[in-house]
Amino acid sequence: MKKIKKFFRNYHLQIKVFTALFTIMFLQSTLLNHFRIFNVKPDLMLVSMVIVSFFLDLKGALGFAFLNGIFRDLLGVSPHGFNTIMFMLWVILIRRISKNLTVENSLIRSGILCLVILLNNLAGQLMRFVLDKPVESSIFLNIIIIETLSTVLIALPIYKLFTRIFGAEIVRNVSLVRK
Amino acid sequence: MLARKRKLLTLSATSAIVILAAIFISTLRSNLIDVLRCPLQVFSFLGGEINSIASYRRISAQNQRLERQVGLNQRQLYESSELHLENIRIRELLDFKQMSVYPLTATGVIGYDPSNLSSIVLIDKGRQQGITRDCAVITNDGLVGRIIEAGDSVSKVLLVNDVNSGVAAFIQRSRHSGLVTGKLGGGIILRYLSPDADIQVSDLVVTSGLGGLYPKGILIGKVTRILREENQPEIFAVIESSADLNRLEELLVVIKK
Repeated sequence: MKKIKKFFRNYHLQIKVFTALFTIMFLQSTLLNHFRIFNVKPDLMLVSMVIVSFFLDLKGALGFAFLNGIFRDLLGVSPHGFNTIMFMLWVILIRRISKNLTVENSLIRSGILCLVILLNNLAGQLMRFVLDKPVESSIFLNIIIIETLSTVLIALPIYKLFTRIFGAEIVRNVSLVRK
Repeated sequence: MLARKRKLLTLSATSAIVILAAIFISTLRSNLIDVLRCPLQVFSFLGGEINSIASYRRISAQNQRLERQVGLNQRQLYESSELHLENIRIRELLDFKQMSVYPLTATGVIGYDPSNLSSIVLIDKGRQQGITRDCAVITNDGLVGRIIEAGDSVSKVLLVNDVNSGVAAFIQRSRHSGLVTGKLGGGIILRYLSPDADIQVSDLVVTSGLGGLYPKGILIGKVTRILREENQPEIFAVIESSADLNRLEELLVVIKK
């Protein structure tokens, strides 16, 4: 019991962050389906991916990307492990990009998010081409445009909420390994 | 400190290998889906409640419309029950075989595919209730899809509007057959119809039973548009699905005998 208490005391911030992100993950595959715009829903999982890349250290971000990808692979039809690998790649890419940019600027954050959404959907479509089951190009274009717009719009309040709840000071300070 | 780090690294690597193996090996994979059942049910319940509150006005108007419809349906039901009894009597006279009735199990939707590039729903029943891969899934309105993965207590349903879906079907009125495929965005299409096929807008499209995946005679939808592709002899028809694929809550799974 003491050990558990100590664990929670040591890692309370990490636990809080991960709980919030897991809630987003489950909302994506349940509640959000009722709020589709032209049959397209925003991708909260990609928003959470961008947030972890800004807020967590590399290990934490990669750990979350791994779990997020597995969750998506389990619930979807993409070949096993596709999202797990892609999400981890996005984390590395976002961190590379954000090293040279000020991520506190919401315009830059939105730009990075747009880039990730576009690349993620293009990778998905490319994989479908390989498997000979591509989505019709007009529908794919429709999905990409609406998904990008709705996700960016929803990402702004989520990011603000996140910084308000957890405090801006946790940026880059939350690590899976306690220093 | 170094030993602790090494221990953590080993632990992370081991769990990563175990989880990846679980994804690749289908039996372990289905167990992993079962783990998600409880949280998905909780979030799905909350989502349903929030959605009900948000769409209160729409539901209220729908309720009034449906109440009026029920009155009409009751009269039709009475007439059709008379016809049904007559049908039984004539079948007995002619010594016809009784039409097979599919054993069904009712399930609830607990989750959806997180991405927009495929149409999949998760239901709260699995192998324990006799559900296996390729079982057809329907609602009272018509065909929904088929099971593509069955865990112990959770299963994955591929909807008819997914690009990976294909259903052998025919036009109920003229019996011309084709293949119903999905194109996402709520749209489904009846393809490979012969150029001289007798097809009209509002014709009903039902499953043909060919291929053995879906039982014969399940309603898929209604023809809304008939199109001809350039330089292609075949015609195809856009179908409006009879089941509302965007608002699925309660589903029926046809259990294979």
